[in-house]
Amino acid sequence: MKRALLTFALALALAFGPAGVSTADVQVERVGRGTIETAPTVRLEGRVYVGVNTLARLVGGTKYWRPDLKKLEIRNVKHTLGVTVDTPWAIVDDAAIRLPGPARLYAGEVHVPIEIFPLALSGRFLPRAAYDEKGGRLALFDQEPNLGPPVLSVTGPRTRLTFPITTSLEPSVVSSRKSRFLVDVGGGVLSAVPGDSLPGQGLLNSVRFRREPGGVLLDLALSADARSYRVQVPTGQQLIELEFAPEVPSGFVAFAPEYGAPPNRPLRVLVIDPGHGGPDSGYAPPGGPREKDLALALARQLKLKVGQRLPGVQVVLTRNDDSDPPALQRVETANRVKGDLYLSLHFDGVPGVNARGVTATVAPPLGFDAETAFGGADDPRRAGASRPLALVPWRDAAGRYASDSRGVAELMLAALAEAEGARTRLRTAHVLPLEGANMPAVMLECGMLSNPDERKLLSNPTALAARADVLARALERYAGGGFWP
Amino acid sequence: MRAFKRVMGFLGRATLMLIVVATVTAIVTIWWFRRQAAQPTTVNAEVALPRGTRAIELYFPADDGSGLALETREVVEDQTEGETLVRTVVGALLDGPDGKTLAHTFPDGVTLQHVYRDPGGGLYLDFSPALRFGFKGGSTAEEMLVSSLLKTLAANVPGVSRVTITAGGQPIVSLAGHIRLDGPVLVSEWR
Repeated sequence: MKRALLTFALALALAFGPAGVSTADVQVERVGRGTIETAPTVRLEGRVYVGVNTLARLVGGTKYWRPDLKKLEIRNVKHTLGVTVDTPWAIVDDAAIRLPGPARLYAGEVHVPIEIFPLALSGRFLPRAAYDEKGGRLALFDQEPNLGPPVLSVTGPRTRLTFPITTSLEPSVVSSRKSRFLVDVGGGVLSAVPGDSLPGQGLLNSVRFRREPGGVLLDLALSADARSYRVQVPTGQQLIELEFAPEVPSGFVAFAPEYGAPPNRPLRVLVIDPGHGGPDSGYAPPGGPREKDLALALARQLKLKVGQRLPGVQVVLTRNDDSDPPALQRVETANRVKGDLYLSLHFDGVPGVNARGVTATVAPPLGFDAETAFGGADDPRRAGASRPLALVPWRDAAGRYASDSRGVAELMLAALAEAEGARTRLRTAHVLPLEGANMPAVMLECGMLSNPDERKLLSNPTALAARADVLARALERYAGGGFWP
Repeated sequence: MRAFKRVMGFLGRATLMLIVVATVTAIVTIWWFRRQAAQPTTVNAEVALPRGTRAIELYFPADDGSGLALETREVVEDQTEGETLVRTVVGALLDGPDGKTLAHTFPDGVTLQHVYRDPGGGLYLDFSPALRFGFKGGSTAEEMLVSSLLKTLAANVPGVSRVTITAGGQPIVSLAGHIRLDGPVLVSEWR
């Protein structure tokens, strides 16, 4: 009996144990697109194989199958790749490249060793490809890298971070606080493989590089001794240079105040724009409140609360009734009263019912030269700097204050997350309500009306007043520099 | 009585052995078939196709508003050339996602009427008027629509640098008052 049971157990182990094939996902980073996705792979004969359907998709090729020859061809506009089942050769254009293992037919699909990307496709179908077997990651460059490896150096009291560049790139300072100094290099494709960071040195505590859609974001933290920065592309040199100093020399810009310090531009005039109005209801869910009515109600509440908390601040509304001034006129109103902060209040909605939370939108920053050129005569960060003449398109005017706008948006989102547990999101985009604002400006979507729970909550005037009070508290912190949180 | 018990005991053991043998045979058979499936095979595969096929990449909004997600479709090669490629890609977006956690990019009833590409990288897409009148949502829905369309075009149609969107042949200032569409939208700003 015992023997029968043992045989039974052994048979079970054989039948349901490993069958020599395992599946796993590989992370694929599309460098240049700024996306990361997972791609399915199988392990055959101890080697990682990728299916040709995935391969062809990743290189944007068309597949042709010859069943009589068991040969598969992948073609794009310029190149052709051919693999034959059970042979280890890849024919790319006119070159034969030996793969570490033969192509195999598995589950009705031709599979090839994943090393085909760096060995046969890099420099042909793709400008560059790298495979990290240990980390299970594949980096595919959709564009040639144009941003070389960073070099960190300390010369005297100053710290320099430089990147060689091969194309024209314009870095923009997104956040100029010392604790979180962010520089966006639009269109930049970093040559090094992902997960990059540098150990701190000199005035820099840490350096991280984040690939984002459309570019690279440099995420730096500076030591307490740093006082100013300069971001430039030196004339005649193919490099981006970030320089940090412990004083504020000519041509350098002082860091933005940390949370807890007063803003660069004192808050004297706050302009609140209740979105939509008149015939434009904004988002109007069936049976629910209309966006235009809620925006006006919240704006009136916010004016009241700011009046109580910041009695010295003048509050101007761009509309105080059910009218619909054009977007241009609303911003003009704000510019004419010389507003110090422009808040455009809206409520959001999406097709599904699951989305929830609050979203703040700020304008993308201008290029580094335009931002420093237009800091304004009263901007203390510009002390000693010359002011060249430059023109900024109307659409991009708010981008001059991108750093300050981001600061106040972060404060408001943090306040809402803390007080109400709201899910928050901060995005950078050109949006109509902020076009032409000559001051720090934020568009705030104060709730998701397509979500039944949020809709019910926001329909309650008491809850709306509470939300206005949270925003007023955040503005109080912004204006007075009180410690946060 | 003892003889009866002995016969019953023998029958019980025989039945048990029979069950064990049948189970072992079934398990070995399953194991053998699984092993065969795992082995590289030379049987003609289902990938045999008369024409070339290509995957297109589609970005659809997640229904919780958290961003865009990738779906792929296989299309035959003659749908991947020139303006037909644009019609194939945008048509797949208009059809909507397969994934249950993804949302439609465009409002119901919207169709693509005209496509024009200029040699300088401009793409002109004229949708039916339902795009203008059927859109419902706030700035996130508006952003999702534009980024879904632009990211999908950037992923599949090489050489497009700016896209002009019209409805019924007329320019659209904005779908919901947040994103300006009355001029070309730069692909580089939405990738």
